[in-house]
Amino acid sequence: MSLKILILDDETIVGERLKASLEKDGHYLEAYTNPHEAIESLNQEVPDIVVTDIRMDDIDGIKILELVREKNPRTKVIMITGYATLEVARESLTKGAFDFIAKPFKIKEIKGAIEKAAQALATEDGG
Amino acid sequence: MSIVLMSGPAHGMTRVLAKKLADETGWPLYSRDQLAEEAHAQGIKLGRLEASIIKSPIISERLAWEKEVYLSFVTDVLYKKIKDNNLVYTGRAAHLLFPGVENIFRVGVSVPIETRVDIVAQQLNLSPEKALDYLKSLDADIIKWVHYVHRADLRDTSNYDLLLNLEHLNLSHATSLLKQTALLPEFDLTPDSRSHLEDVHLAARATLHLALNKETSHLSLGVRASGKILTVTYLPRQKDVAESISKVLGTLEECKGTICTMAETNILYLSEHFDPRSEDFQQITQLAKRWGAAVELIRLIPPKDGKPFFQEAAALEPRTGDSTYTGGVEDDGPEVETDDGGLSATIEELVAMGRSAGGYTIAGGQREVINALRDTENYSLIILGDLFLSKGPQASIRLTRELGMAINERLKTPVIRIEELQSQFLFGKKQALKLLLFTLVVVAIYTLVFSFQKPILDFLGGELHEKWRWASSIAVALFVPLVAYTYGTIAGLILKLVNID
Repeated sequence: MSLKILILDDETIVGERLKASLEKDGHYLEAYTNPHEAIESLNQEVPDIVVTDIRMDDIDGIKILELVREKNPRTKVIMITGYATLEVARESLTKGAFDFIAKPFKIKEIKGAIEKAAQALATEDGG
Repeated sequence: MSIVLMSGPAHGMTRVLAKKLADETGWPLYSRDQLAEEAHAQGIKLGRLEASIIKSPIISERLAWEKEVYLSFVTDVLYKKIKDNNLVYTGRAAHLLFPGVENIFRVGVSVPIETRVDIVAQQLNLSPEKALDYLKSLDADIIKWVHYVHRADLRDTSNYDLLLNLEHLNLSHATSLLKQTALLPEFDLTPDSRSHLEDVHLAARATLHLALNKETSHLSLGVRASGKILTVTYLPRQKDVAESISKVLGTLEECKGTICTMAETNILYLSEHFDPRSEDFQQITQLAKRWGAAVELIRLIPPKDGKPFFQEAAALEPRTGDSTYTGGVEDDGPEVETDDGGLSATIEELVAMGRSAGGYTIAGGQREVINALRDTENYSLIILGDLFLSKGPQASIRLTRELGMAINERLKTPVIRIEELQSQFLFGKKQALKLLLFTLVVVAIYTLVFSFQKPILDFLGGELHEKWRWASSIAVALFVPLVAYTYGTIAGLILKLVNID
């Protein structure tokens, strides 16, 4: 199943590495380092999955999560952070994040989360 | 000098109280958030540790190692702050830091859930229902964290010097109470407690040195310090790196000397699968604690595609170098067995208990096991669990028995099956019942002997004896071993009861 995935992380390398490995699986990816640009894209097009960093300068990932959940509850949001704490993880999950991954993570871990999200989307869509 | 370690529930005003105490006393304040930032800056994978509480860690992670490094890091950072200064530290399970060091003021704070729900609802912009769900999940996570990291129960009140319930106590009065108590002579570090603190710090620094050095980072070591002398215990199979340990620790300041000792006693447990929550595992660790032994695990599985192989457990795999910056997105690396039959989880549990002698998987049969054990001579006991399960019940029993005999012949070490562990080495309900029964038999024998002395003496040497001479000889021949066996059994059970083998 080919998915439209939006990646938001203020470090360019994260988007680059994820794009390189996830596009091989046939997904369409857009990577952003600026949360405002990502929000603009979210306003125009609805991705299937959003992978967002939590700690960013302007707007944090929790805000992005809230925004995505408000605009399109179907979109699955996967939170990634290098500053994972139980508090942040629980907050993300309580606010509707699909998954929470602490950095550093292996590529197979994010692939696993995306696969689960794809299955959930397929179930919800009646497939 | 005063050190105040304050713990309290998340979103429970502990930080506010700690700040008020710091303001009122003029003592520096430090929080877990600041410490977490420092840990992150130092490259400690604290986030992975935290996330592992919510999600199962992937099998190739060595979180037991990360946990040791994290605790040593915390000890090191906090020690530098309290070396010549007072300190108010607030954080999750703060009261459990510097375990065993006296004269540190360990405070717990309790806040009604309704108050916390209000705080969370406001802080995180959640409905009261969601705020309550969030707090319930978070509290459960934190209890798990404390159990995993500190091997303690957060709700155990014996770990606190003072528990403050803020339901009816206002913050100002609570602060005065804390200040007055913190200034009591009981919470002023004595030369003895300071010396203990220095030893705890030295052991932490040594652990960090060893964990961060390429030559020693993959080792599972026991580090303790006493009188500024470090004792590092390593496993027999790590004997080649003993020199590296001394070299790495040679640069530590304030260390008067390092003693490297090899762990002497090991229990080897062979099985096809392991479960750290099983009764079998509890029995093995109980015995290990009693003997001061480490437990080594071997997972014996059938050969994959007919080929035997040997694989170190993930929990002990060497740490990989982090030379290229990846932004936290790491390559997958070589494929590891995702189902390791509970081996890594059980090793993690043993590491946390300080009883791990490592573990590995052998895919093969009797020959591969014997080859792997060839150079090992320090086992006190070898325990055989569920093995050769794919061969069917009868063949499994036979092959396990044959393996036990082969190992015993090779290593000259006692080999038992896991089912025999309780009866041979431990004292449980069955043994208690046995002790009671045999005691009753002895009491009955004594009662009979002393109640019927005359006929018994007659039977042994009187008129009756003259008539039934042969019968009394047979009776004595039977009676004496019966009494000896009964006594022996009782003595054995009592020794087990008082933990003497």
